Amino acid sequence: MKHSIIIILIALLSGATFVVGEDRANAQQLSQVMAVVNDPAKDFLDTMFRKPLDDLFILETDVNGKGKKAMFFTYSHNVNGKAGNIWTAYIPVEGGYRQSNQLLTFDMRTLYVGHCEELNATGIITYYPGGGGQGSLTGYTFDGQYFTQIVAKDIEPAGKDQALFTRLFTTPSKIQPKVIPHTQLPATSYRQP
Amino acid sequence: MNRTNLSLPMRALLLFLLLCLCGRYCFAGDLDTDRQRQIQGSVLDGSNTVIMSLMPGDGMAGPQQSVSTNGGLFNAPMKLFPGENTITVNSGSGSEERHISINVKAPSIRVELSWDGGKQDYDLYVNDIYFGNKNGENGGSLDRDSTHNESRAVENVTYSQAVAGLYRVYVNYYANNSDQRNDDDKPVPHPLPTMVRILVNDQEVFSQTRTITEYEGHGSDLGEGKSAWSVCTLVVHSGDQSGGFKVDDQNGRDLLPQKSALNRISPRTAFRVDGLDGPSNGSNGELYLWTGQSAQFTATGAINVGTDNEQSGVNLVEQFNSSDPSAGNIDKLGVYTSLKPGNVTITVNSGTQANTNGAQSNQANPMPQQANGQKTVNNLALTLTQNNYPGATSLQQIQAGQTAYISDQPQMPQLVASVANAPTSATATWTLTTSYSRRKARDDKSSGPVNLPANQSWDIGAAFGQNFCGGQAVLTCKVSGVQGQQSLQFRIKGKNPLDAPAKAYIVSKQGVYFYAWAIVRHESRQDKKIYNQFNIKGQYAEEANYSADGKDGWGMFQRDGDRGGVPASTQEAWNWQANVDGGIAELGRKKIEAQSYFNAVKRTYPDKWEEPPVNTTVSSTVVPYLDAAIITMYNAASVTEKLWTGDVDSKGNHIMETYGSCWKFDPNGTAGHRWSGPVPNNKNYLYKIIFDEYEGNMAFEE
Repeated sequence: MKHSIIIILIALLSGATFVVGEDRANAQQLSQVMAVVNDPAKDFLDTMFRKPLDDLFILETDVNGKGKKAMFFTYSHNVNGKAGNIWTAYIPVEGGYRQSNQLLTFDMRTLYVGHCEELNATGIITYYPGGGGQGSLTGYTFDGQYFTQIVAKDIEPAGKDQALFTRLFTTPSKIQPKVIPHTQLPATSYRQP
Repeated sequence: MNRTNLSLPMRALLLFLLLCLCGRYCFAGDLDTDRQRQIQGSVLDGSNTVIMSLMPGDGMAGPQQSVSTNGGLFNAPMKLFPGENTITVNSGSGSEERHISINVKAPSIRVELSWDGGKQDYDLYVNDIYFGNKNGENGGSLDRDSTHNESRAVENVTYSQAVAGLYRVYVNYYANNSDQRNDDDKPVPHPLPTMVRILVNDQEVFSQTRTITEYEGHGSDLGEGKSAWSVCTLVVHSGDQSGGFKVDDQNGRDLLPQKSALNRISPRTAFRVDGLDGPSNGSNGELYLWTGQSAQFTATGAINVGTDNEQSGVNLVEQFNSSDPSAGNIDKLGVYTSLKPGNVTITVNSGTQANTNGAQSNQANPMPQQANGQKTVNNLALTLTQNNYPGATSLQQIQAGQTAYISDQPQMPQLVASVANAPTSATATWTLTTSYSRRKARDDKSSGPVNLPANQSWDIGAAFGQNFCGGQAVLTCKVSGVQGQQSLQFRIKGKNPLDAPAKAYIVSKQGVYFYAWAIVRHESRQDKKIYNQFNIKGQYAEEANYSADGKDGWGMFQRDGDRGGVPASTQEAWNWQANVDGGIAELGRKKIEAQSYFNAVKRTYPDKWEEPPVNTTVSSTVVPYLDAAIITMYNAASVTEKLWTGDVDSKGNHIMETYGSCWKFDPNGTAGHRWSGPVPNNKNYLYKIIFDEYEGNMAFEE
């Protein structure tokens, strides 16, 4: 009984307070130094390390439904464990885009963009597996400048939450990342590993 | 053309040409065979008619026809047999022969499934081809797996050159991805009409539409059959009927009686056993018997087969009856099914002799004497045993449809195969093919032929060695000198090790990663059972433990990594020790990643750098700082940063890279306090591994 109570407390805490990624204050501070660019893909390719066999994934979507599409980039190797790829965001600003210093982790195979009633949030919705067939429904909202991690909800995709999981992620997302194969990417000007 | 070349006794024929005038035409049932030739010539003896007769290369009698002459000329079409043909024209006072060889092109088949997309997911099955096995054994393939969100969803199975045999067509209602939910929060079925079309040589020969109303729930393949529509069977003929085909429904009813071209297939007065597939104990086999209109079959031994000459006006003998139903059945297509093991002798009798049903033969076209005789088909019987079957103290026979098990040791099933009724001195060519498909997850296949004397058993277990695999298995045996081949289908699944030896093995391999066994417990836990290489329940019980959330993750360590990492191999899916080895190797890669983060922080902020904390205390366990990062990153890093790789581009700009950790460095923080952490990730994975598993607060077994 004692252990059960402890476990319940831990579970409650874990769903409510833990975050993945940078905190907003630090991101705000760092983002001030990023330049405005017209071609986010080129900027990403020029500035972010790429391995020889890396494909480039590009996602362009209106995260908050306000009519402006942000762009997200990642390479094949930019993977954050079981949670998915680590994405670099480019935020639409006057005159082009500005690279965000916030990094986002989401899996392109469990990706939904829009409103999620279960999380009471609109944004990028994704799933982080936690082991043992359980995981978290989470994601990011966007206020036009900064991304904020959505408080996660524990779910059991193969159990009681199968319908929810299927509805959000098995049904093809209205958006899918565009894939540029490594064979079509320009050579890098820096050394390759 | 040269009259002086004629040396026939009666100098009967002056000119005899074979013309290919209109060989290319199609109709349902008689394919693009190029079999028709125009036979032209002239006679010198003033005959008003000539008799044209056709004999195929095997010497059996073919059809004859009487053709009128006009001004000494004759001209008539004739449909030839595949291969060698001898055409004889007899004017009454003499005859002349010509020889011609033709090749019959195998037909192309396209089976098309379509529906109005929406959010309904239907799947097309044609024999062994479906979304989980897009390339079939006989050369066909599925172009795509249409799932949903298409205005018009289409799936095609195409055979560019269809071999003779049966093509069974099914449609399955795989999933409803509608947003509509019922009270149990399950999708509300919204079935749509599905249309199946069959095109042979690009010509539509079949089209039918049906709405499947039964829905077995998301993800059911053919399931229990409730959600499946058994559409039809397409039969492509072989041998002397090459190019012919027929479509029947599943009850044997001819769906295309008006199109059936069976009456267009030239009659033959011979019989032929084209193939013997199967059977094995308890399974269905198929024996293809092709014959002409006047042939009669009786059988001695295990079965009797006779023809019903009430259908003598039909060129293909369509109605076979077995006097021994327990031995099997022959349907109207001449396909012998459910054949039981044992020697089967089929005897063909003279056309003037009554068959076992008492029906009279077709007197108008009696079978020539040379066709009499007996043909023995060795119905080979396969036996498969496993000598390390879990819980068994002796050899366990594995019958068709049953399961052989990977042991908890682990060890592949020690299988031994043998074949009975093989001729003395024959050679057996053995093949065991395994395949395992999980939708959009795994597609493992392996196979390999072995030649052995037929009286010698094949030690499959020794052949496997340390190569582990599982899933659907098909054992086939081809014996030299015997038509066809025998096959036995079964499954290979696995047994989980007991907890103690599983943990002991992990501990013996984990080295510096003292928490590796705790990760395995957490990752592979199912209900209250830990250390699960194989699922303990459900649709995939005793198959490889694949992440229940549909993301990658196989076996004890839930090994994954198809994007950037090292994917779990077939070995790791079926051999729990290989999975553990792979998982510990993965921890090694995580260690490198974890260390690279600290190196990058130091490189990016050389003036602000401070050594990270030596360790952290999780619950009551002291965890070194690097191990805290390794554990966290095995699931997902809680801190991701863009840091300098040390590279610069041609303009001197720093090249950045994404790094992950559970430790956070604040370059603007107070000196001596710039590190914080470990930051828990979304699942507080570090705490779960240490508190729940390592400290045993969530122990269930062991």
